[in-house]
Amino acid sequence: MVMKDRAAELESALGQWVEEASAEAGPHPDPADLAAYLGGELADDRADAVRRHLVVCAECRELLLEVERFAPSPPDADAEAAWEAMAARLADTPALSGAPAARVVPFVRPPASKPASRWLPWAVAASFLLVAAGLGSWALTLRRAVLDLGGPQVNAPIVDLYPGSARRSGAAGGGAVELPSGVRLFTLILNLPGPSEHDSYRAEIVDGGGRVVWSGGGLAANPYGSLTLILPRSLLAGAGRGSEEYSVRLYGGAGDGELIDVYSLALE
Amino acid sequence: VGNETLPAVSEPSVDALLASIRAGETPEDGFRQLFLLYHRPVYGFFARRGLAPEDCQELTQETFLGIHRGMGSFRLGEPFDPWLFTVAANAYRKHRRYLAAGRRQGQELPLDAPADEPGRSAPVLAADGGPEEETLRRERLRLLREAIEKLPEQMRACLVLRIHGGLKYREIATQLGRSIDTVKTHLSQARKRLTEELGENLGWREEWS
Repeated sequence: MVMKDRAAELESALGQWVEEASAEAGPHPDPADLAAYLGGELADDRADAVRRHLVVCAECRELLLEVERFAPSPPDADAEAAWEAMAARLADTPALSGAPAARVVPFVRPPASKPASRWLPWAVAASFLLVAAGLGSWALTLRRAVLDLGGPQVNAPIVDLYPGSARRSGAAGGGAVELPSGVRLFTLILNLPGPSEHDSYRAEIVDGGGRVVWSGGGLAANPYGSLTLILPRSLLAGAGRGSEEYSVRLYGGAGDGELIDVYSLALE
Repeated sequence: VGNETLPAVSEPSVDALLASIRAGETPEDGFRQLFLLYHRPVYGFFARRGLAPEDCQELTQETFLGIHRGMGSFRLGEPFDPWLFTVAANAYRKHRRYLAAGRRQGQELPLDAPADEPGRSAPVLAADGGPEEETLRRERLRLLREAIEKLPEQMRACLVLRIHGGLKYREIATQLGRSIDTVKTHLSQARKRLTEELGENLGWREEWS
């Protein structure tokens, strides 16, 4: 009986301590901080603050346990039925109900009245000359490259660039982009600093020496405010030969356009 | 292993799906696939919070609308699941604030404050003895509180979660980001310190054996 009383006293004392500590524990942590805390990605001081809060807040403790439950799950009939209602709401949102043209991935538009690229038309013309001259191997190589460029490239390494920074899917720390030796293509996503204000954009990739290694025009932003380019790795001579710095200049508007932003891109 | 809760879709394919959506390749179909893959965990999150089915459906839609709106700023390569959790949890908290505001403005404020509202008192032990016993009990509580305050933070945290929160060792380890062995060690030391601190005065030694 005495033991039971003492246990109850301890629980009571701890309850009082929790109540007083709760008043000093501050507001609930942001859910993003909870997720980062669980993933061990929060800075020490913020992690300590979250930890102290969790000790006194049962609600946040329960929320923390939810983080790991957000994993993909096999679709079921409920999900299919729920999608119908979801689709109706999405139809009212501008990004998905826009003009069909806005849903097309801009790569490099086919040249109309003027060439879309400085080098590509010459390369194509040269390929025909080479075919005519009987250099079959050259022609086959080029044809394969063109086919690669035209097909879906979801599995190509993705370089997701924000103004002034460089990141790649899965890269630790960000900044440096690794292009494995077996890769022939990579996907470059240029995120605009704000909403798209131009119908057409032009991009230039410039190496460390200021030389333009690639330039492409006629680019259009997608509904999410970014431009997607699928490029051959061979454009970037530094890939696979040590680290090399590039910058990507993005221009908007007709003609040469105005400089929108410069993105940094480091290859390893 | 026949466990239906195991994800059937690997992260790389979710990454590829996200990249496809971001690249603008048939975004409507891509987003549909994303919705189907994550509908169950998102809906379940709200259902576990005790919300009515119509509220669960509404908040699930709100969550995916938030994902849709934020897709442009999502950095490919970052894990998607924590982001989805963040959007869902924020939708839930917004819903809670909405309900709380409705209660404050309406006439249906319950006389008994809900358990999670401020003003809740810590459990107070009933005093079934006489005045002397009550005085002794209060003194024991005061000394106990002092001893708890003196404990190192991590020890106290483990003790609070174990005794007051009723958590298992594994759950404490998750909450505090420590190993289970560390939690056990902290608890053992906390008990030892409390015993040493209080044992001579209040006869706690046998309580902790």
